[in-house]
Amino acid sequence: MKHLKKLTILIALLAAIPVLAACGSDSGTTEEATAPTQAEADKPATGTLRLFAYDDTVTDEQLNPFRKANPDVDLKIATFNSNEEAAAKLAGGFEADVVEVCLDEAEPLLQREQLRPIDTSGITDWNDLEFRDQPQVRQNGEVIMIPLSAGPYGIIYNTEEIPEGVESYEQMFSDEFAGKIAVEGSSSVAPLGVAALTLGFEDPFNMDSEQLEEAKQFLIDHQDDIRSYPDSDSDMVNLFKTGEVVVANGGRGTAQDMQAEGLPVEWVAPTEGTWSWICGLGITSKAQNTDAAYKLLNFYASPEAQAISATNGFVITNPKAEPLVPKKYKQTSNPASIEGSIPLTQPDDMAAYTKAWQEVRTG
Amino acid sequence: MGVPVAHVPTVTGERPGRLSRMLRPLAFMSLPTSVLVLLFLVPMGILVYFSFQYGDLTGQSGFTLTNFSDILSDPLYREIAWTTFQIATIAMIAQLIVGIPLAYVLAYKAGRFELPLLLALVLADELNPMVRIYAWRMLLGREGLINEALMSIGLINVPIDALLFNKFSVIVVLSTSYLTYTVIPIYASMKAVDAGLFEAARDMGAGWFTTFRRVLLPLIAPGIFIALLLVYVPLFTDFAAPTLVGGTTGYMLGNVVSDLVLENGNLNAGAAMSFLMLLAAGLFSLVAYQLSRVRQGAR
Repeated sequence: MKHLKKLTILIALLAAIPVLAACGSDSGTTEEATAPTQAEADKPATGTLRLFAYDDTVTDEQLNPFRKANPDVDLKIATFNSNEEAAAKLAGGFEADVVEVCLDEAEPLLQREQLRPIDTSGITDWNDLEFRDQPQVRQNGEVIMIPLSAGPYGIIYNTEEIPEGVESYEQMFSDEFAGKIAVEGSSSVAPLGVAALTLGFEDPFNMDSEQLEEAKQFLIDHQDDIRSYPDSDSDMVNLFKTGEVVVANGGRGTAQDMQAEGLPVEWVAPTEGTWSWICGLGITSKAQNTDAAYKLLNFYASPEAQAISATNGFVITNPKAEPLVPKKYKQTSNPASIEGSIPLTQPDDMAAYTKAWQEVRTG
Repeated sequence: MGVPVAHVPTVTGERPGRLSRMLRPLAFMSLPTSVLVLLFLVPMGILVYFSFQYGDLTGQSGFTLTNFSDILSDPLYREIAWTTFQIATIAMIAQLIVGIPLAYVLAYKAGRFELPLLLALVLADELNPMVRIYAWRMLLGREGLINEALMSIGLINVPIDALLFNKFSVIVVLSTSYLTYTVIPIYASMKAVDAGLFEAARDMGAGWFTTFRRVLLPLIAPGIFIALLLVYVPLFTDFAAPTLVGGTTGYMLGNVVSDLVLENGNLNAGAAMSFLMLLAAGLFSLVAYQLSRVRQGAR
């Protein structure tokens, strides 16, 4: 019996070794990722390159030119739904060389030191890129991501149900549309941000406690008017498609997706103001193929790749791409179209936002 | 004359036999035990460890009880726990109300359709949960099949909004999502009950309800206990249904864990919340087990 006990303990310990080893494995480096030399940069990429991004960033249409130019690279793609999810997976042992970073969501990646500073001399178009001077692009003076796409947030409405249109968040929350409104609820920032703009607060992403309380109360007061808090773009599209809602807050890209599906919707910039997300690519602290990673970053920043990105409804960051952008997308892809909008950033006191949001959800 | 040497059986001849007899079952057990330890106990240990830690994965960290005290002292979490309890309990009762008669039909009345019906029940569970939830949205929605049908027969003039995006729709979706796991254990325990007992009860003047209450229910109590373990406990942690059909009111404990971990990046608080739910589930299982023993003892 004693032997049995000892053996069981041994088996337990042996079984735990891989897990413990994984827990204590190499935590990567936060040293700047060295850019390849010009000679290396001119050669096609080789080896395995692991890319971890939102699914609309890694479409075949977007990546096929890279694959064609680098036939020897084994490109492995994985997708996530938020940077929080990406950070959790990377912390759990999932490994990638390049990760998509959005300025409003980057905090978990930064907290866990999962990004390596980028040597911008290795990015050919760096000096042309829009938003490169956004404060969040640099952390402690070092560049942590290459801004590659952006998009404004405003109001999406059904043009058949509301032919006269919607101009403001105030109008969106009026009795006219009671029960037919959706407010994006994938995180606490969007719904509380919309409430803040409706209430006239200047910085929806850094409200003080009093403002946060007001924004929370605003959403609670309008609970009966709001049909749902969609958790994703696809859920939002479904709500419009099934006639559950006629107006919602949302990104211009989402509205374009809906139009592509034949839905009669329009996107407008509300009079209270718009905010814009900015996303790009970063190199992870555990990146093993930094040469190929730089190659991929350069590809995404290139005019050719940026022109493809424009057709997805995104604002491009490399002005050199403008001549290549199809006429239909010239206006929406122009960085000037989001000039003056509030950059979407993660609130300093994220926990307070989450708590307020939980209180809203509890009613 | 030499004294014949008695043949003493050598010890070495027995040892390998005993050892191999002892080791064989251990070797046999080692793989499943390793899998259990690796995939169940170790993650559970990590969860408990994180729940007693403060700080993030790279910053300062150490032992703390704050995660638990924060959760237990916060009236917001108590309110969410109460909502979750209401939704999960009603969904469980609804499943038992549907599941017990369904298991009865399968066990005693289905005849040659027993196996196909059982397979159909299992196959229904194979459906992707997201597809199932969106199917419910198509049924319960403003322009959904139920509203369209009611309007076409003139029962209503305007669609009923209350069918979707509230606690009711969460209960409906949860009740149907786990029905297979409610029916199968109850069906299995019914198969072990001799149908002649019902006839004997009838002969002694018992009506169907008395027969159910005094004969069938005590005998299938272990099956109900297993169904409760398999279904009631996971209902508390579900967050897909409240997210997709809960509208503005169906926020549950599963959503809290999801928000704490994915939005706040507070793995420790999320682990503490999960650990508390695990403790509650353990307590509930103990009570349900005792009750099922009492019911069995009552027969």
